[in-house]
Amino acid sequence: MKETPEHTVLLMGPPNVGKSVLFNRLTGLNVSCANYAGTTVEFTAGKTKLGKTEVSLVDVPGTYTLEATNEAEMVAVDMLSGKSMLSKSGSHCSGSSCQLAEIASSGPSAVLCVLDAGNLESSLYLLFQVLEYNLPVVAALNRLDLADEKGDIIDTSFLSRELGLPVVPTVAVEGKGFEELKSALRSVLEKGKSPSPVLRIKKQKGFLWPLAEELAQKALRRNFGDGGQVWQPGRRQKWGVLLLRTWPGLPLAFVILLLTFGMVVGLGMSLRQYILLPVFRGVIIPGIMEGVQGVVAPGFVQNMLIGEYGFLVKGLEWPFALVMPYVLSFYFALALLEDSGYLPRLGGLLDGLLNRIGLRGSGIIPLLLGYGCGIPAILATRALDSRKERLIITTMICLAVPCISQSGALIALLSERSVGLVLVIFIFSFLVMAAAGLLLDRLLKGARPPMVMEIPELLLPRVDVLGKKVLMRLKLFVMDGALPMVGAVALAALLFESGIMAYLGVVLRPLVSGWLGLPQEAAVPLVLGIMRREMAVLPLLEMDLTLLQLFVGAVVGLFYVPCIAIAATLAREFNLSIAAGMLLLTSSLAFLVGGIFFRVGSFFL
Amino acid sequence: MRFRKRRGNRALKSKDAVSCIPGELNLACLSEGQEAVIASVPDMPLFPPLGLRPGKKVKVCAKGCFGGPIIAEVDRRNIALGRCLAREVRLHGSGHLVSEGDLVRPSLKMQAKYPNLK
Repeated sequence: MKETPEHTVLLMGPPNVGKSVLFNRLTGLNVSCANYAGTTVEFTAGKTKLGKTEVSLVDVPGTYTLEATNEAEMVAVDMLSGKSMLSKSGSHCSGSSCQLAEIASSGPSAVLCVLDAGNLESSLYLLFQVLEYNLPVVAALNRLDLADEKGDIIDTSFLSRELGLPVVPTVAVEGKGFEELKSALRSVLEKGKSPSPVLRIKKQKGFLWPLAEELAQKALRRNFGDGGQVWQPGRRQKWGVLLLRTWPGLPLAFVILLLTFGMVVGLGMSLRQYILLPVFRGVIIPGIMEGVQGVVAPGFVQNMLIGEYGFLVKGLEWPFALVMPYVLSFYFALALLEDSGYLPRLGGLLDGLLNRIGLRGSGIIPLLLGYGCGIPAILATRALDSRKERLIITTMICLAVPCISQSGALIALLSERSVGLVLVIFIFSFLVMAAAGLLLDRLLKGARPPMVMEIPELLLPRVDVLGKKVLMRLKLFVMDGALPMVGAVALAALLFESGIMAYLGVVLRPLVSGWLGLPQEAAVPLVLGIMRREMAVLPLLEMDLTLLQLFVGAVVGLFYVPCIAIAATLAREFNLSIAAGMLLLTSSLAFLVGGIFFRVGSFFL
Repeated sequence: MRFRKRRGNRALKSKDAVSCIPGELNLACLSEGQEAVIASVPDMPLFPPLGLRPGKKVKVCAKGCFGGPIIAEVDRRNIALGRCLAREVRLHGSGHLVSEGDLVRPSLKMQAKYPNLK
């Protein structure tokens, strides 16, 4: 019998304190974690066992205060008051957790407040604000390893006494303190809330900061070792600052970005060239061909399976031997950047430059995420606090940021002629992004709020966490990326074998051949590209194209409409007219730029 | 007592010079490595939880290029603050020693303009 948990526990705390790590450890789920503020922009619910009872745990976006300064923080406040969970569950929960979130709509029964051992004052302030909601609270004092390293000793039993609630020391990434945390949570849920802390806070309302400062000071013992009274920053801290300075930070940023690009392309290409392609072309595909030829008579069905677009051939080779290596290499590189805390540093460094195109430094994070997949990138813009900025970044992502599947396709398409072309395409996409930013900055109303962003500590990424992350992305890719891709190839096979494709080619000839100078069958990627971004490029691989045609095809594919899933995300995050406008903008720009390239190119070549 | 000569003086041209009215020191006036005590901050909900509260010691870790943000250190945390916001973070003192070796003082140009500053 499946029971719905009767208790809902909210997991709250300041941004980047490790709530999601804690959540993953407690529920066994895999929500994304990174070393910067604003990774979690929606809530996710999961179940955890506390002894015999099962409770549903909700991972809430991090908040510095409960004053809700951006959309992500507003979600947190709404959830705490338990009022609009049901109405918002459609737009804020992710995937299969929707059901759980709706069960939770009756309001939370307790809060697990995560405190940052490195910033006790601010964490306590947030805790006080949470206490005002009159719910039973357990506090987890997380990131103790980092505090320890700096010589801080925090008296948790003192805090627990003063606050009148259990305070459990934890190190979430290492899984320390979880048994204690679970038993504290269980006893709080059984006993209900203890009234003492709430009463005290009410008396002191308006004096929360002095109270937080006083409490933090009393609980904290600083032990600087033989360094005396002054805290000596370690090597990590020193580099953390150096990377932010113009010298050596800016040249290093250039080197790091170039290395990242090289790593993604190089690692992906060698995985494909030396491991996956030989296996696929030498073993798997001939095996399938033989098997199918033995069972199915030549004709329509056989062609569907193993013909030109046969989905047992291309449908397996494209997602698994062509795109997957880049999924692996990209998410490995991204995980390194994310977990080290380098991304916000890059944002701080480039803020001055990005200001010129209507962005702030913090916008670099969703943009980079967009090179993986546009959907999480557009969701990540929720952490930004102006609609104008969200729109500018979303437009850039839809227009000129190829998702990893498309990048893989582009690299495969162009690198056969020259790797330089790949670089040219990417540089061209940067230029278009800058132009779009410049234009939109002037066109859209609304001021750009000045930057306020916490720069997290520079950390050495943990190998186990990296491995888990890459594995999770790979799983996600197989489920959400590869399977639809197989479907799209099957559709292509159907269109091709049934003759619809030839008909489409004739209909679209003025555009495809006349304006873009591509062969007639290039109408296919344009039709399929509406469904999936990489399908706007992949079929070109099978055509014998000239260098100019290759380039025009790649440019059109790059700027062409984002996939159907992004269009749906746009409609949900903004509205239908923005989604429609984006489709119109991207397709018209793709054809315009492609046509111009063809004309200019054929003039020179 | 010797004033340490810093590259920071070069940064104190154009916009910064305008914002550094003597007697009204703000965060954008400090050069890399200098520190001071916060006197007042603009009314923004994000400021107090980031540690930017009156009475806190703040140090400028880095100044962004191309008019980029000031990276301030408060309570051993690094915060990136846009220049215009940094200018609104007023600091205590002007021209007096805050910590060993580091000095908060107006640029030579400002001293020439306001001789009483020394």
